[in-house]
Amino acid sequence: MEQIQARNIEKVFEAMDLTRVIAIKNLDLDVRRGEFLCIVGPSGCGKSTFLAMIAGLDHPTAGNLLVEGEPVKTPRPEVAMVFQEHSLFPWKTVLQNVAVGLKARGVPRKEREEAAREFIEMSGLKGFEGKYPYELSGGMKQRVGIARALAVSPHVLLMDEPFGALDAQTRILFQEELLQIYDRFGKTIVFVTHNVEEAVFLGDRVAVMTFRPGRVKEVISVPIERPRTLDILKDESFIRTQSLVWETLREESAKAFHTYGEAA
Amino acid sequence: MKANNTTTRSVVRSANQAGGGPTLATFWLRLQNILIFLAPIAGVVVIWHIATLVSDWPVYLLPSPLVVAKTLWKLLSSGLLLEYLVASVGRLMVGCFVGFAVAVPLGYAIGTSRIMDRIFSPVVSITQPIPGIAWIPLAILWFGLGPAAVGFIIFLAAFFPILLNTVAGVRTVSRDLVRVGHVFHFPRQMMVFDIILPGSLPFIVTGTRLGFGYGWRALVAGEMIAASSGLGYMIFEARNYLKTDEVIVGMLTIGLFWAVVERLVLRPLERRTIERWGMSRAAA
Repeated sequence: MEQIQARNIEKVFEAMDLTRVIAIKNLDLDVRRGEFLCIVGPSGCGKSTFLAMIAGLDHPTAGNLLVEGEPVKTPRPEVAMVFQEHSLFPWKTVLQNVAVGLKARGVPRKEREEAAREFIEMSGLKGFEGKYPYELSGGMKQRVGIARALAVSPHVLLMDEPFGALDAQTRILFQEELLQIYDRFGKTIVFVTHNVEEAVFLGDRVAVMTFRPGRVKEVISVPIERPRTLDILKDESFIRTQSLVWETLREESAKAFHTYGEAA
Repeated sequence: MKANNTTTRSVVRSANQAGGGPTLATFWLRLQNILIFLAPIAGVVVIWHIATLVSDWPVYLLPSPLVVAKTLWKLLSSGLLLEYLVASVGRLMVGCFVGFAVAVPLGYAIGTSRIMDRIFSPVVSITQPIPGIAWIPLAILWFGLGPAAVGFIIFLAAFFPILLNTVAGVRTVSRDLVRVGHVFHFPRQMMVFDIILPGSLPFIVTGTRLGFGYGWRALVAGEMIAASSGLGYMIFEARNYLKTDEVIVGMLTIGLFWAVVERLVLRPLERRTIERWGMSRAAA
């Protein structure tokens, strides 16, 4: 059964001057249990809004959105999210930041810190437990964000351009790490990005969204086996899939470009 | 050149000392700073002294610094000055803490709830510009001549800066962090104590520093009219007997005491809470 089911999702924003902006319309998407699904789309296609809907932070104005067969009303315990940068609590140490989800669930301090230490070690953050976020590099912060999400043992991990702020080299290392985490934990991952190469490298399938009003234009399967390493970047099937995604996306990016002067 | 060499040597020596406590080099630097700070004050005292020499004003109009220093010593050794200072600080603490205890929760409510904002903001914007002294007649009518009236004036003076800064702080808490709280199912008390309050703490601390300062000024005004102890009372009483030297001692004590509190307690406190988390008001 599909773990996440979106049918005819619509999102209408009412701006301050009472004009209505249709951000998302007729969006259909199924996410299978245990798959790594990437969503790519031009700027302003509503991909982040859609992710926030799955998280229960935002709500569709029409349509049905089911997680585990139930409509999403508020954030659900089996769904965790890794945010874009600046989402760590500046007043909490790395240890407290990672343990915060467990604290919210009422896990006693000793137990939650023990659990957090495990994820800290796994994320290569050992020795940084007592540091505050401002003492960490951008990459380190993102590791904390991922560890924090994993620590609540979610079934679904939502990621909203988590590597967007990293430089190209660091970004590749993080992509490899994420693939290892995926292979190890077998969680369902929904990953929003505007980077086509990243989407194809990481995903089992890539959902391409249209420009506003956003809907899923096409879902493209990535015919590459796991475990994946950087070597696949040279594979013919990788290159073919990547150009297929590009072609599907290009027309939409052009629309965004002519509206915003910004493609993706 | 010679002076340069000495400095270099002392810096090298201090760098060699383990631990990094106060070294000779930093000690000299500190002493220099203190001297630079004191020089203009010494200048004012000198001008004041010259003025008393060249003018033929009687001592009850302008006593010389020497007379004031003698009076200061007299009031210090009799214990009266200390007694009045303690009385004033005690009132300040009570008024300010009550002000803090009301202002922070109310500021939180106004900052987070639109309804509370609609209810309280108009009232606040009208009462906030009224200086504490203007409340003295009402305070005396309501609370009588005594500590309660003075406390009420201090409370009002401290209340508004803390309130307004808390509102501003609560409103600048990052929306992203609130979303994180929702995704991870923060219960209500965690939303308040793990996100909103720490997020607005730099503002609350600044508001508190300002509030205590305003409270101190209001205290002196209140004591002049509605008290029988304290520094404000001392100044006003001394004026009745034309003891101008005592008036000046009282004024200097008020200024000096607060300058010390600001520099040694309030500002370091503000800096440390903000720096500890790498936050700044501009970025918060």
